[in-house]
Amino acid sequence: MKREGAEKRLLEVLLEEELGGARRRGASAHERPDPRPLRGRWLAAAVVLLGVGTVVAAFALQGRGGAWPGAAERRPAGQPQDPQPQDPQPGEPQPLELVGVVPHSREEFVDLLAGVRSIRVHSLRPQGRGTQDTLVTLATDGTTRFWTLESPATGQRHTAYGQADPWKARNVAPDPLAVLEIRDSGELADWVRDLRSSPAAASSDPDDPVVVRADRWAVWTRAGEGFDYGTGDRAAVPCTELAFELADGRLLGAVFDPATRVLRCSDALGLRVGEELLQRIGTAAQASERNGRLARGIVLDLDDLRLLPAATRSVQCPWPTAEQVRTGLARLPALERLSIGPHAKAAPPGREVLAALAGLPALRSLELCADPALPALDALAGLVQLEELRLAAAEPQRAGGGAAAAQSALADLLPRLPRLRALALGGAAFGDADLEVLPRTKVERLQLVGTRASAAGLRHLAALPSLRELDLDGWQALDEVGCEAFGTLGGLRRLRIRLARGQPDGDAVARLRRRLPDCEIAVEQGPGWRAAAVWTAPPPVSAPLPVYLPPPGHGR
Amino acid sequence: MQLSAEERLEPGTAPGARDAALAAAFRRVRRYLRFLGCEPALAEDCAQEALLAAIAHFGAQGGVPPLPWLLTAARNGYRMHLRRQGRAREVGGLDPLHAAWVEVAGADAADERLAALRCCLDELPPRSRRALELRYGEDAPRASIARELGLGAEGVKSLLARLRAALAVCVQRRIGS
Repeated sequence: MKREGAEKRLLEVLLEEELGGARRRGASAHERPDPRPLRGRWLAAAVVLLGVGTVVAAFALQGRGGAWPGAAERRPAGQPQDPQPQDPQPGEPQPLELVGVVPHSREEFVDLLAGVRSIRVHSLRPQGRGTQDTLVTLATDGTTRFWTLESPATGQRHTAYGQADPWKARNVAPDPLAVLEIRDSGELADWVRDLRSSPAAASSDPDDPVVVRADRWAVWTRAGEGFDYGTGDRAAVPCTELAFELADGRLLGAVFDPATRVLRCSDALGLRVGEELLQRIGTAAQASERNGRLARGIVLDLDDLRLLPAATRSVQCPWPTAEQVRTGLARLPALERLSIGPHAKAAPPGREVLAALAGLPALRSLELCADPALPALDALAGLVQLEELRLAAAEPQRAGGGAAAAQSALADLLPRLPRLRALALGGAAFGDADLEVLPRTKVERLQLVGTRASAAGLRHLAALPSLRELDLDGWQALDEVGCEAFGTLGGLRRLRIRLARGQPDGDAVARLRRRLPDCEIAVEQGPGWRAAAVWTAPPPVSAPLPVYLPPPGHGR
Repeated sequence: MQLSAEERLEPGTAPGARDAALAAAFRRVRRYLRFLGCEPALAEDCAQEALLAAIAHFGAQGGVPPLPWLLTAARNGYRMHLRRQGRAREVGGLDPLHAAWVEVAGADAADERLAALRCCLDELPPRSRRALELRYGEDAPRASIARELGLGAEGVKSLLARLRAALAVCVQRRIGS
């Protein structure tokens, strides 16, 4: 920073300090619009809570005789002064539990670590961008790589539904191209090694090993964001923030990076931890991760269902058995939101499981990775209180009874859910025919993600007057036919279209806005897949990742 | 680091005098954190944590901790907060900002500049002073300032820019003299 800029910055700070008494004392009398998004308000609420905690801590500190500098100037005007706190007498214990330790040298850091009584894990977090609830893997460079394979030689498309979340737009391929999740750090070498060592055929089952036999290999990659420390190697949490509780009760804060095994107290003080401490940190991190996950209702092991508190309102879990629904989920009377992920390989869900789900009394929102359960969906008809239904199904051929049976079950189910207002369909298993039944419902919000729906299917929605919001992800093209179909949806108030590929045509968007003048319209470009490398033989383990641009039309 | 007579406290100094010195140190640390870009509420928290850590380290009966020690502790606390938030870019910007602070604030943590600024503010015409009070004292949006002063929004922007420039010259002149 140049000196002039620094002086300006300092002047601003001094002006604020000199004139900003009113701002520190309370809110401004001047109204200003609140620009913070919802997330910001949550953050603000957290800060308020932190402030309350700080005040409580201040009182505790004062009660123990400690001074709190600056407390006097924050006291509201007119409030009588508290008695002057008494300093602790010599030999009196200090309020050490409120005090963090800041070592000044490596030696002091080592000495402090030698006296660690316990380890608290404050947060498990990625070093790059990410959200904790996204079921994808964060690569070490801070981006998530989505890998797809295709085999032009056989024409076969290998899909792996994996742990990808079909409701996050970034996880959905624009067409049924494969999306293979790399469960480790995402290194190509590891991926290739896995491919070579696996004898079985490719499968969409996330638990199956993946092998694609082809004479040409393409690896596709796309930057995204998010991570999941709930799958794969839980010890490989990208970064862990810790507090070491010392023998005398003080806390030593540090950040641990498992990749380098470096524990940092500050930029200047870093130590490479030994095996014993590494094990203790790993144990503490896993326990913290599990507790934090269960507190959010995210269950990876169905045996953990019994650990959820009775007040749990939201649960995310793999497909349970009917018995597990009855003994694990049905004992949660407040359960309102349930998200069921990919089914376990050994126990594909049947009608009995869905019937058991229909017995959950308070369920308002249900999300299903429904591939194997589609033909039995009508068993959910008992959920008369259901307000939101989200279904994902990637492969109709895996739906047991076939696509026709699945469509029939869905058509039978939806009209029997009288309170249903939000419906989301994700995956190539759904198409135009599934939209036919919607006029017999009162759906207000409809989301279609990566489906085969087209403009012809949209025409069915013209007979659905309650529809207010339409979200189309992976829409093939915004052409004249499509614009005409959208134009029939006069009741729409919000329309979001994310194209499967390419940039939106400005003229088409303008035409669409003219047809729907009362509707808020957003058209976004496609996800921008690109090939990272192409080989004519299985790539070598040490193959680099050259940039490769696919030919026009590739990826359909 | 130059300390005032009041701040050169020895162990056993009266608690009231020590509290005043600690309050002064608190204001300096908070000022420093604001210069680094720390939000006001967080700056107060970090400054208090730094002082608490100092009390623990140097002892509650000791004098005022060295300002560089306090600033480093506060900066580390703020850095930890930024890391928790995943704000890596701002973490990377802390060291250049610290270097800028050392260059412009001096050993007294800009106390002299603040005193000079106070004198300069007293010399301002009432309307200009009011504009600054609205902007920095009451956190008024530009539209409110414009309404009260009878200016357009752009006029307020220009007025504030001119005032800041004038104050900067005034402060520099007073420091130089």
